[in-house]
Amino acid sequence: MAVGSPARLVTVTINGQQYTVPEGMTILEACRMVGIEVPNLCYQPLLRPWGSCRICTVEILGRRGGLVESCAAQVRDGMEIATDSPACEEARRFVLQMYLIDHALDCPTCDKSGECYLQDNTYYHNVYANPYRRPKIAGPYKHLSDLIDYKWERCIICSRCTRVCDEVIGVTAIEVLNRGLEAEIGPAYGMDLRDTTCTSCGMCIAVCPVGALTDRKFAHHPWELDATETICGLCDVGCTLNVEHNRGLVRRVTHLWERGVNYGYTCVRGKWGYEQVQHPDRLETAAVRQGDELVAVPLDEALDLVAERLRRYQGDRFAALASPDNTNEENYLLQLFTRAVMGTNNIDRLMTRSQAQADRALLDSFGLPVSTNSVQEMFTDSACALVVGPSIGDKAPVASYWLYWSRNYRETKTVVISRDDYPLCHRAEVWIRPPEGAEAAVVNAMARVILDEGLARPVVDSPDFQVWVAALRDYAPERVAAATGVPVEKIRRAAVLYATGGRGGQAEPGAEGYPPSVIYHTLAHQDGNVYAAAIALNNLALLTGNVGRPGAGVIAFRGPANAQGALDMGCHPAFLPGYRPVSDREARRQLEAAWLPRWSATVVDGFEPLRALPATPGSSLEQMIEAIEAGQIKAMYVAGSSHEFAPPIEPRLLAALEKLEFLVVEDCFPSALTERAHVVLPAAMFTEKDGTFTNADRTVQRVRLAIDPPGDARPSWWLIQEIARRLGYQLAFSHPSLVLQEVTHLTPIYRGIIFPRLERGPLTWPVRGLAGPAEGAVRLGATVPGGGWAIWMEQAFGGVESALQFDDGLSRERVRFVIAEQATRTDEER
Amino acid sequence: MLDDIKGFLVTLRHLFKPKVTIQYPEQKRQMAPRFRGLPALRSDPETGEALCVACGLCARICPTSCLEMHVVPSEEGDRELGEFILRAGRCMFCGLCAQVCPVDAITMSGEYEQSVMDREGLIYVKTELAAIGSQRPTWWDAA
Repeated sequence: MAVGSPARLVTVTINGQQYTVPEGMTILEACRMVGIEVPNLCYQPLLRPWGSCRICTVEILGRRGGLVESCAAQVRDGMEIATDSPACEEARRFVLQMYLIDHALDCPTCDKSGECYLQDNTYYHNVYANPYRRPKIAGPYKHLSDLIDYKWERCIICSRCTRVCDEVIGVTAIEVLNRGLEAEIGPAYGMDLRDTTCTSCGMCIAVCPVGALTDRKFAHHPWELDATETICGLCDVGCTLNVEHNRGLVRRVTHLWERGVNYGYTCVRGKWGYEQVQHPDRLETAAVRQGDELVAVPLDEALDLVAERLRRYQGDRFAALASPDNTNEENYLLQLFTRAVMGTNNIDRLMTRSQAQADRALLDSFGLPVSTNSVQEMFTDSACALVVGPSIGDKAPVASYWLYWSRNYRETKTVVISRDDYPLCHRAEVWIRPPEGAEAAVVNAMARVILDEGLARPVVDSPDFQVWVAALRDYAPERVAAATGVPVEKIRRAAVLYATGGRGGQAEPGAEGYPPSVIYHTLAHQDGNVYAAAIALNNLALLTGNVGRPGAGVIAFRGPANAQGALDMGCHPAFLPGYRPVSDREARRQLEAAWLPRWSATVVDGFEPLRALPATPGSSLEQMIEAIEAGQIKAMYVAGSSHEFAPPIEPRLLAALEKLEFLVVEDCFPSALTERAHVVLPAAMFTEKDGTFTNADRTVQRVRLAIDPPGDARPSWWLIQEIARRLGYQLAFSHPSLVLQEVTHLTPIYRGIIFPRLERGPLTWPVRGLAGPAEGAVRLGATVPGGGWAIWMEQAFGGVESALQFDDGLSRERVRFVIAEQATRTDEER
Repeated sequence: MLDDIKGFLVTLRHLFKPKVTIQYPEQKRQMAPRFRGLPALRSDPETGEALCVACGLCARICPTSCLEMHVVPSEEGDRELGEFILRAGRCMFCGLCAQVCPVDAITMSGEYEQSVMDREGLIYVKTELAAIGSQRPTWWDAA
C-alpha cells in the first residue's frame, strides 16, 4: 500500500543479501517486499503492529538480545537480519509448543484446517511431540451471534479480530476479555453480538489465523472448494470477493488481502451476500400471466410471447427501465434494444427519486453524473473528509473502513453531517446532526462561513458565481443555527476544517493551497428531496478548490452495484452511451453505422427495421409514470433487481405499471414488479454471470461467473438478445467480453477498457491510452492539469466549453455553481 | 493303464481328506481376522451414538473417491455428519478410510456379500452403513 512516498531509503542485509528498502518500514514488511517469507500469526496488512504472537521473531546480528519481533520493529540503516537462524527457529518452536499446550488440536473437524496459520507454522517448524504437557483446558463453543462462533481452546489471543473490529470496521464490538489464561474474545458483558454495534461483517472470522472464530454455517474444508474472484454486486463500492464454491453452490466468501479496491476487506453484504444469490425464493422459471395468476411456462415460450407482443409497440409507446444491478454489458444491450430495435429513447434506470437527484446534482455541477475522484485517494492524499448523509457505515461500508483507517494512520480529519448515529460520528472532529431536510441549509451555512473568513480559493467574478453568493446571504450561520438547532460553533468549525484540509483557520495555506478535502455523501439513500443538499456539497467543493486534484472532490454513493455503469452505458433518456447527447448528430451517425446493419431485411408483422436512431430525448422515470398515466406508453420492459439490499420501488411507479397493456419484468426474486408483470423472465444474479461493473468512483472491474443460475434463469444479456433476435434484429454476442469490445469501440470514455486488461486488475475511466495508467481524479480545465481555480473559472464561465476535460479531446458541459431552488424554499419554510 | 490307476489313486486319496469346498451360502467360511470387506460406520458401544465427527478425512484420502460426505453445522456450532455415501462399486477395499479416521468411526466390516441386481444397489448411504457397522469393533481390535 502506498502511504505517501518514502523520503529516504535504507540498506539492510537480510539473510546475507543486501536490500534497499524505504525507511520507516517494519522488518516484516521489508521482508515481504523483497520476497522473503517470515512466518507470522498476528500480523495483518492495514492493521497496526501488535507483536503478540512472537512467531515473526527474527535475529538482528551483532546486537545484544538480538531476537526482535519483526512485525513491530523498524528497519535501520546497516541492520543485519537473519530470518531463519537457529536462534530464532528455536524461539519460534518454543512459542509454538506453548500455544499447543491448550490448543484443541481438533484439526480434522476444524473449519480452518488446511489454511490455518498455526497448523502451517507447526509443520514448518517441525513441532511434533510437545514436551510441555498437562491436561488441556477445554471450553464449549460460544455463539457470539447467529453467524459467529468462538472456540476458546483454539484461540491464540493474537488480537487480529479485535484490531480489525476497532481500526478498520470502526465498531469495536469485540475485545479481549479478562487476562492471562482466562483471556478470551467476546463482546462486553457476554451480550449477543447482534445487540452490540456489531455489523456482522465477519471480518473477525476473516482475519482469525486459527479456527477460533468461525462461520457457523460453513462446515466445509477449504480444500474442497473452488475459488472465483469476482466483484460484489450489492453496493457500489465494488469490492473484490473470492467466492468459494463446490457442487454448484457458493459455500463462503474469502478475502484476497491487499487486492481490489477493498484490500480484501468486506462488509456483511460481501461476506454473506451469496445467501441472497442462492436464496430458496429465487425465480427459477419464466411465467406468463393468465387471468389473475402467473403460470410457469418454458423460457422459450415466454420469450416468443414477449417478442410477439412487443411487435405492436415500436416507437414511443415502448419504454424500458434498466437495472443498476446489472452489468455494463447488459445495460448497454438493453439501451441498444430500446434505441435500435424499439426505436425510442424512453430508457431510464429503475431507481429511487433520491438516487435520480444525486445523479442530477453531479450532472448539473460537474457536467457529468460521475464522482470526481477515487476512494483510493483516501490512502494517499485526502487530508479531511466531509461525510454527509445516512450512515456510510451501513450504505457503503467498505468506504467507511478507509475513513476509519485514514483517521488512525494518516490523521485525516473527519466531519460528519448525519442524522444517523453510527460509530464514525463519535470519532469525527465535528458531528453535525441536522434535523430532517436541513442538510442543505447547514452546508450552505458552511459555504457562507468559508466565504466570510476568506478561505475560498480566489474566484474570478462571474455572473453565476455572484448570483450564488447572493443566494447564500440567506444562510448566515447564526440564522441557520437558530432554524436548525445546530450549534453555530459546530458549523464554523466544520467549515474551517473542510476548507483548510483539516489544518484549522490559523494555518497558512502552502504553495498549492490547503491540503485536499474530500466529500463522501450517501444522500441517494435518504428519503425526501436531496437535490439541494447534493448541489450544496458540490458547490462547497468548487468554492474551496477541492475539485480536480487528487484527494479532493465529491464522491457520491448511489446504492446499486452498477449505478454508475448503467449511466455510462446510456441508460438515460437524454444520453447515448458515453454521455453523448441524443441530439448529437455525429454520435448518432456513428452508432447507426454500428447498430442498424444488424436488422435482417425481412419485415415481420409490420415490425419494420429502423432507419435512424431517435433524436429527441425520451422520458425519464418520472416522465414515464406520467406518460403511462396519460396512455402514451403502453408496453414496458423492466429489469428488476429485487434482492434484500435493493432500494424500495416507488409506489407511484408500481401504480402506473398496473395500467400498462404489456409489461415484461426480468427479475431474480418474486417482487412487487413481478406481481404486475404479464411476462416474468428469471434473471441471473452477480455470481452467476460474466461482465463488468463500474463502481462509484468510475472503476471498471471484472465480474466473473462462479456458479450457474438456478433453473431456467439466464443472464439479462442473453434474454435481451433472444428477444431482439425474435424481432428480426440479429444480436449474437456469445459472451459479454464481445459486448464490452463494442462499447470500447463506440464509447470514448470507455476507451482502452477491455477484458484482457480487466483480467489484470481494475481500470478507472478515463483510461489514458491502451498501455498507460488509469487516473482516479477527473481533472478540470483544458490546459491546467491541477485545475487552477482562476483559469478554469474563466473558462467555465467565460463561454469556453471546458470543464471535465478528457485526454481524448472531448470536452463536456460546463462546471458551474448551481442554485438549488429547493434549498431556498426549505429555508423560507422554516 | 498304469497311468489311469495312478490317477484314480489320487482321487481316492482325496476322498478321505477333509473337504475344502464349503456349501455357500448355507455354510460360510471363517475369514481372516483382518479381512477387510465393506467399510462401515461404527457407533459407541456403550451409548450407541454415532462416532463420526464429520471431518471428511476419509473422503479426502479415498484413492477412488468412492466416499462422499456431506457436512452440516450442528446445534453446538460444531460439524455434524449430514449424508454419507459409499459407492461400493468403486471401492477397492484398501482400508485407508478406516486407518485415517481420527475417532475410529469407520471399520472394515468384513462384509463381502454384495451381489446386487443393478449398480444402484452398490451405493450405500449412512443408515445402511451404520446398520452394518454399528456393533462392530474397530478393524484392528477385531484381530
